[in-house]
Amino acid sequence: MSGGAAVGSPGRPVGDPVREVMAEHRELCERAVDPLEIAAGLEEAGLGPAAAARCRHADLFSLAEELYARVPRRPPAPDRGRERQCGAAARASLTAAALAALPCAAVAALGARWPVLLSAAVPLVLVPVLTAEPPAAPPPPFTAAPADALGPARTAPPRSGPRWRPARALAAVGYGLGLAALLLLPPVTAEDERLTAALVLAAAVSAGSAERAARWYRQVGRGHLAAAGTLAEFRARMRPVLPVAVALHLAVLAVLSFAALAVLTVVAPRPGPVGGLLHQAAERAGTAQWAAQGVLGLLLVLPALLARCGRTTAAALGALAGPAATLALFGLGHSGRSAALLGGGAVAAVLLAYAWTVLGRAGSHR
Amino acid sequence: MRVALLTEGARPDPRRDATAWCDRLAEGLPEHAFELYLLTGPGGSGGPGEPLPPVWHGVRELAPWGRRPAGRAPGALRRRQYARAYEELVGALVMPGERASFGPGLYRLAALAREDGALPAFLASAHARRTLERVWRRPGADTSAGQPLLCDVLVAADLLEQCLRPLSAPWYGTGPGGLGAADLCHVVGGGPAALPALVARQLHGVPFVVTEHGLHLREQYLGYREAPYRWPVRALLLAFFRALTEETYRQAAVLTPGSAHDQQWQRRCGADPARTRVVYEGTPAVARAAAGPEPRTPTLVWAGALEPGRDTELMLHAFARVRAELPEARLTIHGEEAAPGYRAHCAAVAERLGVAPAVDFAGRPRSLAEAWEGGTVAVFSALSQRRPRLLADAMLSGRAVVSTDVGVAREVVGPTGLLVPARDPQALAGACLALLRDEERRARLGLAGRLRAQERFAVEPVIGAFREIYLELVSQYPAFPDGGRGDAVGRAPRPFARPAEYWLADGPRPDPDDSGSASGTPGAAADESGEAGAQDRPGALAEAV
Repeated sequence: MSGGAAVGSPGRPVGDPVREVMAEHRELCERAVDPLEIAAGLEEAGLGPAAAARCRHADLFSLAEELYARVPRRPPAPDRGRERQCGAAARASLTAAALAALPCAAVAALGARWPVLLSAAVPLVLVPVLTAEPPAAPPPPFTAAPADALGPARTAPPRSGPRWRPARALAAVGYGLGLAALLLLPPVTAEDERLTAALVLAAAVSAGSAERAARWYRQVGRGHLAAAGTLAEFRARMRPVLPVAVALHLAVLAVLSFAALAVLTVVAPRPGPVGGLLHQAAERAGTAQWAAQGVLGLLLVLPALLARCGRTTAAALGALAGPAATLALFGLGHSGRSAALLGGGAVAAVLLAYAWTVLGRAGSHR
Repeated sequence: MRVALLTEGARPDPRRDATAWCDRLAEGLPEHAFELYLLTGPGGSGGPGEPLPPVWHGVRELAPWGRRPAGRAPGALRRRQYARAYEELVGALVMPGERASFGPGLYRLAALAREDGALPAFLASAHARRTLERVWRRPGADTSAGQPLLCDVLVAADLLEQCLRPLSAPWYGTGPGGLGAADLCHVVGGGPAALPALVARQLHGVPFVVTEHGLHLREQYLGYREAPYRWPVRALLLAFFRALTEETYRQAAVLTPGSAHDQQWQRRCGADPARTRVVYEGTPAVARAAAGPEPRTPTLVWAGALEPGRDTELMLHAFARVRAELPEARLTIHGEEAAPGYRAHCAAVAERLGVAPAVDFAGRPRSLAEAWEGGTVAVFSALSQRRPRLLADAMLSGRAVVSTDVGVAREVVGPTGLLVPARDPQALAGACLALLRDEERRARLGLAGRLRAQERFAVEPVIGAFREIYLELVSQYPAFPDGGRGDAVGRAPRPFARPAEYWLADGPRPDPDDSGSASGTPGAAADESGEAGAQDRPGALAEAV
């Protein structure tokens, strides 16, 4: 029972009674933002007017002011123990890759007929819904748990908002529809069926890498958010991150496409000059096809990035606009490849500019 | 008259004292029309709860926490005005020399919000964040424990947006349901609930009373020690609550703290002692009969939440000494664990002291009366007593009370119980033994305590005090519904032209008998109609006085 009683234990010579109080409540004094906080803390620790009088003060408030003036502020060390959710990210990317690749493989195997396409679209529509994170709402101001005199009051814990609000669910379904259209449109409009099937399959598997890139981007954004001093510094730190995320995804897509082409070359070799397998695989697709594949990759990763950073509506619109523009140009008489290149490319450019402006803001990384 | 009662808290939760207190007040003053303006708690109002008691003429709710209500951000020109006001407000919080600009910034924001309702959207915008960051990092700002980081700016901007949400509540104006049409506002609990009252005072000149049982500011200081925020955010938020409290105390017409102990805090925060009046929190337990005969074995009863602040350990140490002198003594501990693991810790302490067989951890009693009835002496060993409720309840049982001399204990118990210093088991044991051994003294102190508590904590004096306070306020503030701009005929209102009873009885109703004299001078007409009204309704007048 040290403490208040020790402050003025009679008979013991005491040099500076304030120093004793200070030593005892050092942490309180170091962390206080205001003399009143020290007064509240001292009162809570059982000190009263008698203790203040022993320290030669009129009341607890002036004692607290002296303590506030004498003890330097030292805030508690920040804890950097934010666990990295690698497991969840890997699971989400694998889910996305599997959900996107299986229907595309089914379409490639069974041919692009309506019943197949419709049933293949269902898992694709579900991809954004299944990989979504709970929405980030601003935390309410801290309030002490309501308690009555005899213990904690049994009140229901504050409800968090619903996981799926109507607008959010609609945006997720729109994004899913866009994704399905994006991946199922090339087999419908293609001339070279096997080549297109291989490339689309590679793109579908890379949906997982898009998901992973988006989560990585969000994680880096959060890290910078916690470390940056000012809004300007945060923008400067975030400037290289978006290009790196997009480039990583495109690199993965390129590797996957190349692997798919190599498999295609082994399974169905093209008649013509015999060369090495890698050479043949590289020769299999022309520049236009590689460019279209790049556009497809951009249309995969940008909506994923926007959706992860809370811009679900923009993600849905972007994902839907790509196939829509392609389809419009296809309807106007362009070939499937050039329609995908021109329409999708225009939408991807707009999306890229939008993402560049929006994702650099601090508000997108809460 | 119309009283707008502003408070914070979830309505359907019957265990919240504040709402029960408001119900009792409104039931006790049926001559006034009470309307409830409620800021619902963090959990929302929780759907349809118990029906509203019929004493309320209306209830309006606002959810200040959680997701921001939808709304468009202001245009570029308006945004500049918003930003200037916000800058003033934030500057008052972080610049030590600019504290006085809190009120002007607040009222400016309220006026802007009232014009276009875009305040929440502005406060959540990137523009507001930039303003906050700029002011916060200005040279000379009080950042003694480190500069704010970007994450602090974001969190603080969110929290300020939620705290300032009552400014954009659709409660202002003089129409039906508006605070401007009320004769006075009564804020119960302080904090953000006082914001609408402050705005109504500024816009419409409606005076307001502040009743606080357990000071909001002190609860914030204590609660934020465990808050999951970094130092700068905590400092900014607490500065906001402090500035808000000071502005509230400055503008309030009357302050009614729940104890003289709280009154000292209020004075420290700038309350004028002349406008402060202690009104104890009445409790319906006053009507309860005294506890029956004492138990056969001498029993000490302790009640409170099980946590270090209530210092159950001190009770156990003291009890060990009591038991050394009086081996048949027993101890009953009522209450639930509020700090995890503390109950097991107390049980271990009792085991170590060798008193475990005589100590009974009884949990939450079915009613407090039963808890006191099971003891010979009621003991309180807390390190702090911020609210008088539990002490008063123990005194009402007629059992003698021993308490540590902290907080409100001296004021509540006074000469009718034994007070010992905190953290002193020897003194506590001595006081308990003295009472356990002296039946006559026990009975005398118990009876005196019961009478004292009945006198101070009865419900009727509370009602009577507020009846007087309301009357006094209305007599001082002629709360003209239109803010003093004159009535339909264009006559300027004259302050103090009518006695308070005129407003109380029926308000400015045109009297057919007086229609002839209305062509005279406005003041004379008002006086005459007031007198005539008083003569017509002597019953109403007597009831009001």
